Amino acid sequence: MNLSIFGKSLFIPSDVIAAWVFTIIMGGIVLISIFKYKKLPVIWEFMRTTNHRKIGTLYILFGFIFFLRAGIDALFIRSQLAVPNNDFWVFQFQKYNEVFTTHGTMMIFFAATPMLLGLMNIAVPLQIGARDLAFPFLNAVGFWLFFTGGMLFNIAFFLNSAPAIGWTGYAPLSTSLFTPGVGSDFYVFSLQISGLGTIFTALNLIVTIVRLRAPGMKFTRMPLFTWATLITAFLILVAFTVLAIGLYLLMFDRMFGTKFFHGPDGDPVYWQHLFWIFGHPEVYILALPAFGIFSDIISTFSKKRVFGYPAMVLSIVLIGFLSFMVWVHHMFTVGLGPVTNTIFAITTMQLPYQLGLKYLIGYLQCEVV
Amino acid sequence: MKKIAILPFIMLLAGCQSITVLDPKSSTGKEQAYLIWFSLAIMVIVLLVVFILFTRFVIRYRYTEKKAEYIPQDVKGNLKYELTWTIVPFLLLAVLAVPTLKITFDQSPEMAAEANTNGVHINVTAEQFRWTFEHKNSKTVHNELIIPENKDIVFHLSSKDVIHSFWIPELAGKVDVIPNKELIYVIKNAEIGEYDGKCAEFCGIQHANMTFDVKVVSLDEYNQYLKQSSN
Repeated sequence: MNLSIFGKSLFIPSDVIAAWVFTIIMGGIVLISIFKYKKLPVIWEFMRTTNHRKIGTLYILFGFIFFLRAGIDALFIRSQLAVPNNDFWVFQFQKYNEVFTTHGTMMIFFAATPMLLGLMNIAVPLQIGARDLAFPFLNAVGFWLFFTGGMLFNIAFFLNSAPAIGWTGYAPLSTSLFTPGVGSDFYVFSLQISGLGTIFTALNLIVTIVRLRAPGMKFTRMPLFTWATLITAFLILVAFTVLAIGLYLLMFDRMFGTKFFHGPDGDPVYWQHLFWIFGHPEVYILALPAFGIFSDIISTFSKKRVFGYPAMVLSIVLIGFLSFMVWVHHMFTVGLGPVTNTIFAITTMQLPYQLGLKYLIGYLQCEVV
Repeated sequence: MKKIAILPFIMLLAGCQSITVLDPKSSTGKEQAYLIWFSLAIMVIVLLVVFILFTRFVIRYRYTEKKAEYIPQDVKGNLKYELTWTIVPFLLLAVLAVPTLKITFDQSPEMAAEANTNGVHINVTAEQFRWTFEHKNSKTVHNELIIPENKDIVFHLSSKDVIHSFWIPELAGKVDVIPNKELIYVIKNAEIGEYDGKCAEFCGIQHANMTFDVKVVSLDEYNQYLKQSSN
């Protein structure tokens, strides 16, 4: 749609205009109901809170809102792909590329990760008998950094400059040579900001679990969700730091003319290494807490102790460790050579072995009530 | 009985009948498809065991009013079971590992300097958004690849701009095409036929249309094709 503003003609896709209109209408409705039901003090309270349960609620709430947005993106993708040679609304070419990029990025960074962080925030202090996380203020800072990153990423769409580089942001497509627009900058900065928040929260959780356990709550008695959280926090600490480094290098490539990921001296494969050293542990950052949840729920409702507790803890630790040794299986097509590929095929096969053992032990818990 | 209403929808899955990757037309592709089927078979065994146990546990040990006051016995462990589920998966993995490692080692794409292969050499250059194929007598064609049957076809892959990925689903798996770096990929013994090739790494706005046609012809026809001027 062409808008003329101040005598200049400006092209804006109709989905962005629809989003503006929708946001204004919904914003109005929300604003009115906030005043009508006098909820302003509640919002003010949540904005300033350092309470772990309230921050956890915020994490889950905004994780869910971002999840809805990413889910709508998925519906657009499916509608465009429903039949061959389809022309659904505006979702062709660049728009389509933007939609699958935002879908992937939002689901991983702004929906799945924060929802689990929220649950950790709520449950871990309760499970180990701590009053709050070790650094409540840092916890709030971590959440608001995540919130800022998520908002920045969403604002890109409202300004019609969403990134279109895939959620993996592969160089050299993501360098300024091939995507000179601000879209990819939104990707770099929003991930950088929210990643920093995630690192803070991970540090916080580690310190909490190590230092603030109630008397008698030994490591050998800790619930498995807390164990999973501890290992996940270590994974986040390493993986997100590597991602931050990759994003910094990409930022320098994009803004300051360095050539880490392209040109004769740089190599786009460096980006892939950095990204997947983050990306594969990320899988387990999402999976390990879920395993912990299964274990705790199943053992509680079958009124039994966790079967093979030491083995369970050991496999969580081993899965966490092995998750750093398999990243090349995302890069088998890159031509790192037969030896590298074979070695990483072996380490990759090791990992499900651990996983399988853990699952089987988990199933045996059912044999109870 | 209402659940039977779901059945017609399961029939819709019949739409997934032509998965070309699972019915490849070259010996390279056949080795890869064999790995897919083989690992699928092993996984189905594991899946069945897990599903059967899971269903049994859920039905047999479910909560009922009668068990409201029941406190189960504390079980310390069971050496026999624990050994079984530690050793059996290991054996399954070992069985899976042998062909996987062999084929991975044979087929992995290599850097140009390390490769030493006889066969029909073809230079493949990818750029946004077009493929260029250069045959040994410098005949150059865009978006159309013609290769002889029953030969080792040695592709020299390189990119002019971003990362692309060279993929002919009916012949073999994908290999990335990377700027400033030449990769070698060998496809062996293709069968005569016409196939579709495409770029399999998101490379920009026209990525979806970055396709090419592949024709596998007899050696005579290929030689004749080479003699025609490239216009």
